[in-house]
Amino acid sequence: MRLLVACEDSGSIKEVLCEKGSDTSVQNARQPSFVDQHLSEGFRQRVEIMTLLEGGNRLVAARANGELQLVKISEDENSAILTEKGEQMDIKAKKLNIESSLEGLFNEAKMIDIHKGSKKRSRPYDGFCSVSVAHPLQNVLLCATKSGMVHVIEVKNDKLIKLASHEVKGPLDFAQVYDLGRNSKTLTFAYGGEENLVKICRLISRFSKLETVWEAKNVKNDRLDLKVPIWPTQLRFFETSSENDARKSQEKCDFEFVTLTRYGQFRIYKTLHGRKPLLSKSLVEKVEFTPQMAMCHSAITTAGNIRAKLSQELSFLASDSKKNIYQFDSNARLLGKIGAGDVTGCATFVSVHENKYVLEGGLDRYVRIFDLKTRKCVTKVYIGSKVNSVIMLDDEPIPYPSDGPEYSKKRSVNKLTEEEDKQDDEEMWGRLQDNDKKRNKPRTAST
Amino acid sequence: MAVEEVRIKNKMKRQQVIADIKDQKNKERHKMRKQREKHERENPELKEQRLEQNVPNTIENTRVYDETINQPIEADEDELARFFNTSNEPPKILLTTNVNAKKKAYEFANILIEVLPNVTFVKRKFGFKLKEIVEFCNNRNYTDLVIINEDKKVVTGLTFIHLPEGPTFYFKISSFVEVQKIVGHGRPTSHIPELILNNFHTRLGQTVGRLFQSIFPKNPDFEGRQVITLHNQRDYIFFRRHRYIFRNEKRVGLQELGPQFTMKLQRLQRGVKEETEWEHTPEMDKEKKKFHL
Amino acid sequence: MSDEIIWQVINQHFCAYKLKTDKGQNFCRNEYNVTGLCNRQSCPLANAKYATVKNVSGRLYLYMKTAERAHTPAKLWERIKLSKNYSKALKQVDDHLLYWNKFLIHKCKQRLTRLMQVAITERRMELREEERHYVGVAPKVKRREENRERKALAAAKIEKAIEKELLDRLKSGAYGDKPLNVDEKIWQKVLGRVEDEEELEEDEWDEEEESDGEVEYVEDDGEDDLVEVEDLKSWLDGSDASGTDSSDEDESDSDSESESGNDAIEGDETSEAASKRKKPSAPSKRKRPRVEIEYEEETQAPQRELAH
Repeated sequence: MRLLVACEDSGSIKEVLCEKGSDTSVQNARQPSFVDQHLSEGFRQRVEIMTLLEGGNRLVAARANGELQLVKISEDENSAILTEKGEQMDIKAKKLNIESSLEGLFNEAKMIDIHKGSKKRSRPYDGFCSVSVAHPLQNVLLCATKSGMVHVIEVKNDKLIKLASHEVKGPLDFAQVYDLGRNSKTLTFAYGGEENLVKICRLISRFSKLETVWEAKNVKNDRLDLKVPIWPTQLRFFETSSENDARKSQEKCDFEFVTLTRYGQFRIYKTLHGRKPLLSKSLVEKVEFTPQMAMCHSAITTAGNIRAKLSQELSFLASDSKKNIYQFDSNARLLGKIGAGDVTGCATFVSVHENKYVLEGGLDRYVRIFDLKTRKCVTKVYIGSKVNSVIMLDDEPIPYPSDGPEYSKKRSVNKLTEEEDKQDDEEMWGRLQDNDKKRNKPRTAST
Repeated sequence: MAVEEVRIKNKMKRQQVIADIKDQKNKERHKMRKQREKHERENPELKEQRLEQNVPNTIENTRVYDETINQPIEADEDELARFFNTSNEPPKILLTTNVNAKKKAYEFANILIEVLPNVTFVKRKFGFKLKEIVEFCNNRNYTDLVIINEDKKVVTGLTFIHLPEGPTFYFKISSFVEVQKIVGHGRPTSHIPELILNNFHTRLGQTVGRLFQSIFPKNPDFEGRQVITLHNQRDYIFFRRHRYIFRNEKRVGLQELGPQFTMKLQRLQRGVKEETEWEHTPEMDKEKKKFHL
Repeated sequence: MSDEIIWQVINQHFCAYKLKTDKGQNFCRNEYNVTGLCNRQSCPLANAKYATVKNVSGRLYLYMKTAERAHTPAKLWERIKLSKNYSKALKQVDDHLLYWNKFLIHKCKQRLTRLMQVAITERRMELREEERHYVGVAPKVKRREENRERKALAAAKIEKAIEKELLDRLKSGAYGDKPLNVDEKIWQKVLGRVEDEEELEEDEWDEEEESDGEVEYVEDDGEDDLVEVEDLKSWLDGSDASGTDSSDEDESDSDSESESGNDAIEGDETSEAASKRKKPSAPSKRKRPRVEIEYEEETQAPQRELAH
């Protein structure tokens, strides 16, 4: 598998080529075959968000100095990746080229006022909070900053062109594009942040006009009659359960979405139902959550919304400011933790890749890939820098030129153990089932 | 020991026989050692060779593999500058305690005032939030905020907050020995001491080492011949202060100036107490040979 | 059942809510009790007409029961939501308990006041920032950490490590071309190490003779310093003035410090080194000792700050 990792310390994008099962923390385990640094620009210009564009050969990198870069990913013909024995592999490294860049998207002056009212102790600097593809066909990007700047950017002829900029109430923690509808003329998105309730906005007449369509209301005061702090950090849209088709629903302002707050409240909203949430549940008490939420679903749009109705089967991942990554179901019940005992730092990036893998990167300078079903760690790579974002380019196994005896041996051993495991598992299952039958029998008899 | 001897039924006899065998073995060993010593005195290379070959297994030797050890820090000037602020400016430290601190905390503060350079002590008042304190420090160009944590009349911890952007370190403090209790202690002079940081190898260790480097000024007064040591061994950081003298080019005389205490990193957080980068948990102690610094 | 019979049972026989003490005062654990005491007047079981104030998920309610509803336990209590405003709430209590017994009115108001105060305190505590993390440490873990620390200290051999590091620094030239912290002779030896090895070997033999006593005492330190001072004098070559100066300093130092001789010498040595640095400018020498004294004031200053 091939990963692109946005590093914080050196401000670079690292390319990691590794096999499933590699683990750098174990000396004699399989190591990543290739790690290379691209576009290193320093800490102040670190890449905060990476968004892959349609087709997978271009990405937009948002840097911390307010620069947006269009990066082309191509194969580097001159590169030669060698195996441990010095043989050249058939696989080539990638080459990242900046094709176009856009600067001055921040409004740093606003952050000082924001900091005064904020609960965060250290002074925040302006940064990108979301860069997402609004219309996959038109190549329009919506990019929002923490200070409340919203820019609409078009990717045309390998260039980034700013179509419009708007200012909304800051601070922002997220700006989520609604891409379930088919209306290509308007652009609908939702935003929110600290003491900034969720609002749904619409950009009309060639993105030049911004109108607020809907605004949420805070939940009731708590037990002590204190205001519940407002701080939504993530939002995901769902298809509405009403009979209208998607296009109509957008016009009628009929939305369904879920939000996650910093204090770990999971909320379900239906705009037709009212401005207050339909359900508000605290996930874990007294834990601060990071603005990370990843949905585990098979039909996820490029912006991260779910092309399905809100149902019981849905589950999502969220990480807290300590080191836990939780998996909850749509009833806010804890299904399990991911990477417990292994992850030592706060996970600053969590995402689900094709409903199969969980990509995780964080302050402990590792990138880990988990299997979503088993929640077990598949790959663990030491990056040497704090991780801001991870993208999996492909999931293909690395073609080794002549499968060396070492590897084949290792593999065969692995296979053996796997088979044994399977056998063991089957035996276990058999036994369990027997037990179940025994247990169930008297019960069924009695009823 | 031979099996037959152990099987002797008579206890007295058995003990005697076994004692004899042991005695015999001891004698042989002594003899062997004497001979070896003699050989080695004749040609010292043998001894060197033997010492080279016979390396005992220590916990340090058999440490669990950590890929971050001695890897170059992957950070550019900017990131380093975050620690050291502007290169020539000496550190400026604000020292305070937790709310409702008792006498012990103030005594410890007195000692830290002596050790840390350019430090101002402020008595902690009730009702100020950490954010307000940090803002106060930022307005006055403080580079570090140190908070002594006292609990039940014992100093238990030290928080170092690097300003203005963090990170925040929390250390547990243990086995504190005051100056008066150190036998043969000297009196420190007001020279800026040198700093020795030992054994900070992993990525986390390097971060911790950088903290201490940034706290002490970079231009020590060598004529003071004082040295502050922070020695990391098995994640315990031992603080010592000495005055040294070069006896000759092979030997150094050390006089302890005190105080002594031991620190252990419990938590490292980004910013001013925000996301946790690393936190010690009791489960980490399960593996005896896994060290984090 | 009449109230009197119930009270007889509760008082003389048994009540599950009763909390007996040896001080002659019994308490009541029933959540409807308006005072918390176990007596005839405030017993919620033995009074058919009773009123109390309760906190239900953050809101205060006035609970009342009357003998008329005694046969329907499900509807026994009538409750009235009290206003968040204190004076309004008092008025509500007054209105609803208009012809009730004075004791219950008074106690309900008292309980209302107390619950309001509790809510205020709770709110204040909720808003207060929790700076410290409280983590419980099991005695087993504590002991384990202590033991590991002890063993780590033994394994560290700190003094040896320091010596090694200092020598490394000396040899690598970290102290500059003319180090202030090394005796000139030793420094020359370190420099000449590469050039003439023969001398060095001789020196080493001498050193071994010298360093028979492994233990280092402070007194030795002082003596060495004295030797060093003499060396310096001879090296400075006819700097008599500086010699007298240093003796002056010595006096002033010993006056100000009145400490053990060893320390005085230490201080003297450092100032000597400083004077060596500034040797060419004779008038500045006088200023040197004063600067030295200022240093000491600096060290005391923070302590004074501490005192207030």
